[in-house]
Amino acid sequence: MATYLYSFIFLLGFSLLSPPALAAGPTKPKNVLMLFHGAPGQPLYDVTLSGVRTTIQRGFDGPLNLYVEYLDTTRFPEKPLLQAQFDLIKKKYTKEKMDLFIPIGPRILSLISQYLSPDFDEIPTVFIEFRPGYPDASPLDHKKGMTGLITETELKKTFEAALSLHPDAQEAFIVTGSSESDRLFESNARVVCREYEGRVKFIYLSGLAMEDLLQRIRRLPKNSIILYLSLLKDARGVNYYAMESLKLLAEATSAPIYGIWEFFVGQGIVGGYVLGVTPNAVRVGQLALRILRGEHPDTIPVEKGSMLYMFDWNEMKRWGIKEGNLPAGSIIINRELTFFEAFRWYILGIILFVIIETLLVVFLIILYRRQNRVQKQLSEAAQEWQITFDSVQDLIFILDSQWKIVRVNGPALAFLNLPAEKVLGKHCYSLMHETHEPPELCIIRPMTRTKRHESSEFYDPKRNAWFHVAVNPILDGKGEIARIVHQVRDITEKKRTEAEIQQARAELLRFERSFRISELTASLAHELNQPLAAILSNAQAALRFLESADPDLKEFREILGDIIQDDKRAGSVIRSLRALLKPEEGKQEPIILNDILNDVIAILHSEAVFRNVVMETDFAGSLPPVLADRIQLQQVALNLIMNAAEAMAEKSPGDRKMILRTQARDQHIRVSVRDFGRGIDPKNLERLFQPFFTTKRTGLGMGLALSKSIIEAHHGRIWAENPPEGGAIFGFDLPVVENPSGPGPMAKDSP
Amino acid sequence: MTEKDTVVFIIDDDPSVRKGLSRLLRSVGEAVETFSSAEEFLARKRFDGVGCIILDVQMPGLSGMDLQSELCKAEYSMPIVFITGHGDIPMSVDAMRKGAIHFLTKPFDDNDLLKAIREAIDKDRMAKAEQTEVQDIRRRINLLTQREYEILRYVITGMLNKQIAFTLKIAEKTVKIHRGRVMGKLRVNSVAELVRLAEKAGIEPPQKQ
Repeated sequence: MATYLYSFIFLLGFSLLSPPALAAGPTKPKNVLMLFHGAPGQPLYDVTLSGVRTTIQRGFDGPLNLYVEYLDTTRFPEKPLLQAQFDLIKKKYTKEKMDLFIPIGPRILSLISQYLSPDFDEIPTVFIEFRPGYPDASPLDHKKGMTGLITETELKKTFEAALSLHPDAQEAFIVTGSSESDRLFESNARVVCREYEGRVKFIYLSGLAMEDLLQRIRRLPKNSIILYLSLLKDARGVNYYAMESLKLLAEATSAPIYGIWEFFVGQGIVGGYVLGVTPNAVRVGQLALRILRGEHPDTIPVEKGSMLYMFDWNEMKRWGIKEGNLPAGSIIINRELTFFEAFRWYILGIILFVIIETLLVVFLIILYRRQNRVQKQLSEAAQEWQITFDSVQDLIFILDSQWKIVRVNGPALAFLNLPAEKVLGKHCYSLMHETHEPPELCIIRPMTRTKRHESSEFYDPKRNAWFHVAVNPILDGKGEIARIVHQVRDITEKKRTEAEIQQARAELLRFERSFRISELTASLAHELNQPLAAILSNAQAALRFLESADPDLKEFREILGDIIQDDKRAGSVIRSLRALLKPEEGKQEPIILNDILNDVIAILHSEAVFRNVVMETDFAGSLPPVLADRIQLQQVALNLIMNAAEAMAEKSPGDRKMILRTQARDQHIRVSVRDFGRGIDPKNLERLFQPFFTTKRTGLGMGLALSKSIIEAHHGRIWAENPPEGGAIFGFDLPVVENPSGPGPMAKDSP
Repeated sequence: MTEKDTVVFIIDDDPSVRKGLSRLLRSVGEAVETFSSAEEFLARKRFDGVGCIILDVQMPGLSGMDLQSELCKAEYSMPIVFITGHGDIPMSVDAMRKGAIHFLTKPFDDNDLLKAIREAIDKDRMAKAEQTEVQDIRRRINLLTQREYEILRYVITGMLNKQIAFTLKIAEKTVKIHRGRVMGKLRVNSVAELVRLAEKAGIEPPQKQ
């Protein structure tokens, strides 16, 4: 047997052990001895052996020798026999060292202490001690090196459970046998049942022959219950396995039977608070494993064996016992499953399937709806976009990277007067310019380099129209041009308006000049009359000299010379006047600003005399030219000088002085007019150059606003400030011409 | 006196005009002095002879009108012929009120100018002569005593001796004596002559009480 087991486990080890364990080489097998106090073949021990063995074998990797011994004290109760049996055991199992000893059974601890000490004292021990369910005097002194389970059958709980299931029970029959352990159970029962004697009548069916016993229980009165504890030997000395006797009882009985052993459930008893044989066996197996792996038994405390309520569904049905009346936590075996229970997983599966299916459907519906909504939104957005696209008055072409039209809006189609199919796929230039090549001025060309917005204006002579053209690239993920948005706007009307505004502005400037000059009429007349008066006087003097007897020719020459000079002077006044009054030609020419100021000073000579104003000049010796309109700059100078003169009207005549200054600065020329009047009211500084702003009683209020517009049109800046010494300075800065012969900044604007 | 008896002063800031005018006046034999500004003229020694000023209205610094006022204040009387590059009526009226002889607008005809100058010089000559007579009368009046001067003021009102005596609370005979002395000192023979003389000298009758 041992050889067989060994080889079995060895083979098992070879086939099942993990490779690392094999690599360690063949190790010494562990020797385990199990000793059962009882006859072999009993269900209690078969179940226990199988549970312990399976647990150890499953959990232990190494080779294992398992030895099993039985002490059949039921059938061989004689002391000498027992002694001989133990002697044999000692002889058998001390030759080879045992690694683990597992004694199991009632009073086993006292037996091994009596018969196996001290020989087995060194062997680590895991025990199961069965104790009756009442206070037992026998010692429980497990020695050092031992651990295990102590199980106590609790008859009381079984009995209470039986009573609660059969509240009408009047008689309780306690069935036991004649063996020593049978009688132990009987005496145990007598102790326990004493407590319930007032409630039911106890009848002890013990010490009967099996036939008599069966006879008795066949005709039990109604409302009886049977408590079957143990029947290993009947009165005639026939030995039974507990299961065999139970089988006979169950067939014969006319009352429900309750018991205290797990393995009785399913064999004919209704159930009870039973000893958990299987759980205990597994538990002992686990403890055994821990010790085999090297733990010392002393480190593992002794545990209580597990008990459980367990009932047989078939017996319950037989005796009409409702499941609901069972104690809480009861285990029911042989349960006949309801349809639901039998097909629980199928049903749950189907329900789950239906639920999932439904969810899937709902999900799909939601998805579908959402998709619908998105679709709708998309189509609305697309429609919105298309309508917006068509509503834009500009012509919009969307081109692909090859400049072919992929999309075009309504106004563009209307402009080309072509249906969409004749436009799409064509090159934009073939439609717009009717050429096979993009035109020179096409701005898509620079855009393909910059990859940015480009725009420009151009004149289309064929259509006699001006267009503003803008292109914007749409870049793909790689930064390459995927699409080109090409926008064309007819700006002919705007250009015309601009021209009209330009003209109106010129007229306004001219009007302002005329107005200024009209203010100067008196002084200009004076300026003209001076030379005229001189000419007349000279001429008349000459006539009178002629009448004298001896005319002096030298005198005549001088007179004529003076006349010519005065005539020229008058002529120059008229010329400057005409220059100021004639319409501008918009001509830009390189101009030295000193000349402009000198011209204006000449015109204003008499006015300054009238106003008792002294005009001092502080001109830069040589100035680079600026590109400007001469008349417009004279207008600005005239305005600034007249304003300066007017600003000093309240001063006493001796203090009316102004300084006209020109300075060449970095890249621009500064002209300033400084007066010594009251200065500019600081709160007016901001508004000075706004149209219709005036502090004078006369005047248009346009002088400075127009001056500003003139200077800014020349890319300059006009300014005013109050110098700390008093008075005011008005001035302007104009950029110096870099290349006087080249085109000026204004020339670019003309088409 | 080394100065010429008659001089025309030309004051104009414009050299051409000065030159032309002085030529024109020299062509008719007038003595001419030119000044480029009023200030320059004022700086000249005071002229006692007969003459006139041709004065430009608009000039830097003191204008023609300013100079006229200055001369008035200084009792430096000389007829002024104003010339202007642009004359407006209020300005000319103002000038005339202050004693200008003529107001000519440039350019002007030589005859107009020469006529104006002649008038001005004649006026100045007469004014200067009258000024001489008045000075003579004043010298004679200065010979009168306080009482005689007082009697004179009453006589020119046409009051009779008796009335004067009553007013002054003196004897009629005394009045008669004083009156005789006044007539003698002033070298007049009739009351009418006395009245004209008193008028020239600017003697005013006493206030009525």
